[in-house]
Amino acid sequence: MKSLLEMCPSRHSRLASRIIDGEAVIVSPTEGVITILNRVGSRIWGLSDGKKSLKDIADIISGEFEVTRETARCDAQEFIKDLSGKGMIKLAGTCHCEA
Amino acid sequence: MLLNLSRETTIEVAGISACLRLNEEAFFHEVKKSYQMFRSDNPPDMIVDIDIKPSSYNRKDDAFKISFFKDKLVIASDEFSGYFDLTELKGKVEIYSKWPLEILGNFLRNIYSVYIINSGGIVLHASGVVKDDEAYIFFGPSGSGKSTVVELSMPHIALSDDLIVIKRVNGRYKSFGIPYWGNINRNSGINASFEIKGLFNLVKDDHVYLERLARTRALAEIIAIPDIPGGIPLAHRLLDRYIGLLNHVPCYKMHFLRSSTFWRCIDEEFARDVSVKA
Repeated sequence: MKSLLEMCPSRHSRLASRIIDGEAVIVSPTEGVITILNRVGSRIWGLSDGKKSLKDIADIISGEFEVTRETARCDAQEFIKDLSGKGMIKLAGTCHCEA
Repeated sequence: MLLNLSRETTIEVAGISACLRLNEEAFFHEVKKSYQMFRSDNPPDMIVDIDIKPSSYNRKDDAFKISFFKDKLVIASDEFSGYFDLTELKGKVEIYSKWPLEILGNFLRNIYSVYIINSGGIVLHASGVVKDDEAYIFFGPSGSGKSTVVELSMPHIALSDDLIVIKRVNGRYKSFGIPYWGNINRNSGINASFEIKGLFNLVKDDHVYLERLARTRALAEIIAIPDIPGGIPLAHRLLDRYIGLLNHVPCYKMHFLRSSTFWRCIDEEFARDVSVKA
């Protein structure tokens, strides 16, 4: 079984979102729920395209924000677990890479 | 001059014209009088048949249900039932109420809202006031003070105390006067559009001040995805429309109490904004 870091998170298709000034606004039209993410969370959200593994995403975060790779991986896992639990993120074992 | 023997009249709201065809003479004249500010000679974008039925019903509940069957919007309550076909742009309402004008307003307001959203506009649960030929839009949940702001803004022109239509016209965001009102009973309203100066999210407080909202916060406050067919594609389009609006129009959280001093705050804010830009 793959670890969470090896999985490829993707934004749920039943949500609409936009990133403005580095912050993501996520709308669930069916539930009428609006979520705003902070800058790091928004970057993870933006990178969650179903093509990159969480490990790759955490490494990008580590390069862009002042955080060690280990901390970024740990925090990214917590964050994605939380969003996955809320049904906002889907986790796939196989990353869907562009041909 | 030929006599117009048909009981039909065309109104135009936010640039969208609707031909209203009525079955009953007295109500026809009532409708014509009530919507006189919005009468139009333009060819209609939509047609609505209105049938007045006899009623002895005493209102217990004025709530109504809105549902969709394919491309047909269906609205019904204890006092009316009607539909609007979004493909054919034709609708019909049967009214069996002692307050048919009010009921017709509710019906038209809903079909207009859906039509405007489907055709690229924004409909906000908000009030609007015109000052120096510019529109100030006040939004918030029920009870936040939308009607109060309009009352406190007399004698400035009000666009509505309940529903605001926004459209992008030649790159500028304009708000339109409409004949649909909430708590304040206005006979007609104003049939004109005004460029939007600012958006104000109402919060009751014990003193008056404005707080400029970043676009993300403003979007989260203003966004309202209506429950109409369109699902996620419509939600994406609406997000883009709101962002476009917020790119052009500043948005503030307006802390206020029941006093017209909020206008001094707004004037000072925009005067400061002008001096900073200069």
